[in-house]
Amino acid sequence: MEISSNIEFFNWASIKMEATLAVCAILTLLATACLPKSFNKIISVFAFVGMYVALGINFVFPIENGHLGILPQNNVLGCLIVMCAILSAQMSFYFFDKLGRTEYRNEFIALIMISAASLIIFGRSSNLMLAFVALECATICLYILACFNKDSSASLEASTKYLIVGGVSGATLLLGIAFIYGASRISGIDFLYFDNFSEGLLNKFFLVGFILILAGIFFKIAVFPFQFWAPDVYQGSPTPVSAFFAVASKIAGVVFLARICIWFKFDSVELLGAKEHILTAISAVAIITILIGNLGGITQQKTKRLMAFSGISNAGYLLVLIASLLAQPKILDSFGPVMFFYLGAYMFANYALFFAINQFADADDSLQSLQDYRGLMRKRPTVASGMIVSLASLAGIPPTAGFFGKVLILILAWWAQLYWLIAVMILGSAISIYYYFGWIRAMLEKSEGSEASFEPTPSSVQTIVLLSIAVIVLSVVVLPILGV
Amino acid sequence: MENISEILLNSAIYAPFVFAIMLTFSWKFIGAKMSGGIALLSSVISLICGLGVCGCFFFTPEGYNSFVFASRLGILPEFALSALSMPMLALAVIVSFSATVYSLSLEIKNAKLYYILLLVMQGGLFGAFTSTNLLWIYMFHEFALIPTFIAMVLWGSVGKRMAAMQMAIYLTLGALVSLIGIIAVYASSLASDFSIVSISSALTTQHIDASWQKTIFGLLLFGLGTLVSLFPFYTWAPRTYACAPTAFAMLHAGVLKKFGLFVLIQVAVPFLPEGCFQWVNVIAVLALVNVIFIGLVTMAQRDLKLMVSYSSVAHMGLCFLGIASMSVLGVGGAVFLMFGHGLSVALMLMLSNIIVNRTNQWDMFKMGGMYKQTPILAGFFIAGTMASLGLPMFANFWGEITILTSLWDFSPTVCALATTGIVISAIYGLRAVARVFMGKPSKELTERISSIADISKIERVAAIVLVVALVFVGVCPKVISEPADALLKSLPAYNQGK
Repeated sequence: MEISSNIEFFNWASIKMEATLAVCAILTLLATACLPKSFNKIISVFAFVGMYVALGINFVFPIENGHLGILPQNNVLGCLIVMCAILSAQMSFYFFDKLGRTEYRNEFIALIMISAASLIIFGRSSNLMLAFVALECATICLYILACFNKDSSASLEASTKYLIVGGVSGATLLLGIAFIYGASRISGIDFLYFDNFSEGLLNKFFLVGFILILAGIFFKIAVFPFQFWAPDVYQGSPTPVSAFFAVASKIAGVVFLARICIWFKFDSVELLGAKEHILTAISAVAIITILIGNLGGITQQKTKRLMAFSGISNAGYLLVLIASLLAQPKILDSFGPVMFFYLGAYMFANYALFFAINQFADADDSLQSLQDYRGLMRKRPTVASGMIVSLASLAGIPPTAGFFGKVLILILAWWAQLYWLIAVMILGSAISIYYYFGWIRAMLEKSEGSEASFEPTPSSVQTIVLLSIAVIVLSVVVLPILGV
Repeated sequence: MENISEILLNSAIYAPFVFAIMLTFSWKFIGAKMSGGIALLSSVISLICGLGVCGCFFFTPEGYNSFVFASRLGILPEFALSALSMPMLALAVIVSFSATVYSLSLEIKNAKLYYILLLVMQGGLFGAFTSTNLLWIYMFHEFALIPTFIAMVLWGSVGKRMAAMQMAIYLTLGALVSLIGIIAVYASSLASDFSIVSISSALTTQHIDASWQKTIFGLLLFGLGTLVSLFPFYTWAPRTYACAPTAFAMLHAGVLKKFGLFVLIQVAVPFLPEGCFQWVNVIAVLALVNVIFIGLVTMAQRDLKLMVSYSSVAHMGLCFLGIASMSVLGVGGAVFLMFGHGLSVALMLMLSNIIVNRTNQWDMFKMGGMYKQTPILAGFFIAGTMASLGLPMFANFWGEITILTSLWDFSPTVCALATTGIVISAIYGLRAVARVFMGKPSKELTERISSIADISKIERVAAIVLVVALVFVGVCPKVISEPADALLKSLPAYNQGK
């Protein structure tokens, strides 16, 4: 196939969401540069409209097969990530008010949009080259976003750390891609499609390449042994960006990981036992990640670091899901819905908490700790109730969506006969009660007067309440599936 | 008739949720007194409807060995009454009523939230005993658990921070382990969903092999055992009951704790008889440790509330022994004891809290001589002690006597050892009565003794309800035994061998 015909046949409808985001982001940037400052508000509104259109356009036109390595399915991924972008952008309003630099807000939103668009492409791509380019594009935006609070040394440190870690992980990923390409011994325009690796599976270098790719993705979704950057980076970055790190980039990474595990048809090749090796590796990583995430969370007093450890352990639970898929390919049909359900539950709960974290008066909230939440139940019962629901969801307490997500993962893991992983997951969930409930306990305790001032804006209170309602309502969706 | 019982069951279960939602959204207009009144109204409705539906169930003997379903509302769970859930529902509504009434006598900060949590907890309890779906049973259990945690942190007494956390971690871990057991039963029965009916019908064709049954039953036993404070996993219980606000402690120790036993009897043993059979010796040993060792620990307590809490742990051992006998007699006795102990421990927790509040002392050695000052309180306290000792005329008596009888068939040694538990409980129970009410007032109490008031009218109502229920079942055990007998005889798990 020649390049020209490829472009000719390219179905733009398949990337309508990403294209809308990217075009609106560029227009936003141009308008911010050209128009006077008084237009700032209008431009922000335009950016928001762009994101909502991207979300809506998903449901308007039917999707057909796309080319250039973009797959038609998985628009749930797109919806989730665009929602992350919208929520982060909304969070940034209060953040920039605190910072006193509202003029940078539109650039911030534009960068979030570009990064979201690239993350969607990354998660949906079925071509390793495209995945790499998309991921790098997203990561470069995130480097800039992480240091938006230029006066805070924590923010700068976070950005530097993420720059180094991101560089290393990108290089690892690229090396892995090179190995896989070499192993597959094919050439031509289609050379990096997932489809074409079935022959390469026989080659030992394939395994090396695959492990390197895994390492690259493990950096992105912050699982052991590449989890160490997450607490520092989440803590230092501006809160809207921390939320985006914690949710959007994790969603895209997990989806991509699941894709390549599905796509490289390990079952078709019995030789070398590649699948067993990879299953063992992923299981071991899942176990250690769950333990590290939860044990690390116990000692944390700083809320944003706590969120990072919570994110690490959740990534571990998702790895259990992926390991189940590798061990038992029959669960493929239920795998996708379960994964997206879990990710959706994770997103709503996490954003509700990050919204609350963002509402403290100080722009640099890297040192915010659980003590600052004392007395919140008496001062702000609505916000505190919303946060309690979200924390309960992360801890896996019914009737929240987080509980059903965990139950679904456990059921699939049981079918896949991964009993050790189930045991560790249960243990991890029980440990996590300590820090999630510790946070709840802090909110219920008496105020001691030393807390940072908490001034939620009405719109963010509404958002927190809406997100926490979503956490409960989402679980209703799953009830009929379980036959409850 | 069925229509009426459906309506009664649904309204008993939904009343607390509906009133809790009403209270939540009436954030500003309703004060402390009003919200107490609303909670009382809800618990009265639940009491009347709950006892009504139990009555309906009792008078329709043809349904004894199956479920009597209530109509399902939309996506909400399906509720049904069985011969085992009937006494549990009755227990739940009675203790809920009593706990709500007792709360009215207290001065509570942030009272509205208190009553909302109390109502949610009650709704969770009612649902946990009556839903037909294992996942919903689990969920309702958590509905009842989380309010306890919040209430402990907000209104608990000294040491609440760690006690609340300890309880949350222990109980969640126990619940999660039993959740795995539930998932395992569901997955290996190849049932289409989690409902008890469909799993049991799937199990008639799909036999789970014995080694698997052993593993799965082990998960359920230790998961649910943690909730019931089975021996190595009991440490959360005493401190929780001593620290939690009394109404919540009453509901937790009296009702929620019976949930684990209820699921074991209703679900685990009938579904996994061979698995249970392989565990009976372990259960018997652990339960004996509960009875004897924890009984001795109870004897050593000086703190009145802690003593009552420990005694509730000790008594759970007897229920486990009843299950270990795997006979109609033993399990029926366990059901009796669950019912009777639920009422008596709630009564004792309430009375000991009254005593501690009046005397401002927690140490029994620093009390004494209160009999003259507070004769009615003493009367109730003695009645509660008698009930928990298992004297005739109280519901506990039937439980203990049938369990011990069934144990003779199981093993005479175990039977003899279990009987020492009764002696131990007599020692600590009667000693508590003597220390608190008899003799001369202690040094600390001499000055204040004349200012100690007797039990108030509201508290009296709460106590009378519990005592009346205890005596009613004690005099007329047929109300529980007849349906339970019919159901247990129809389950093969309880009818092997002798």
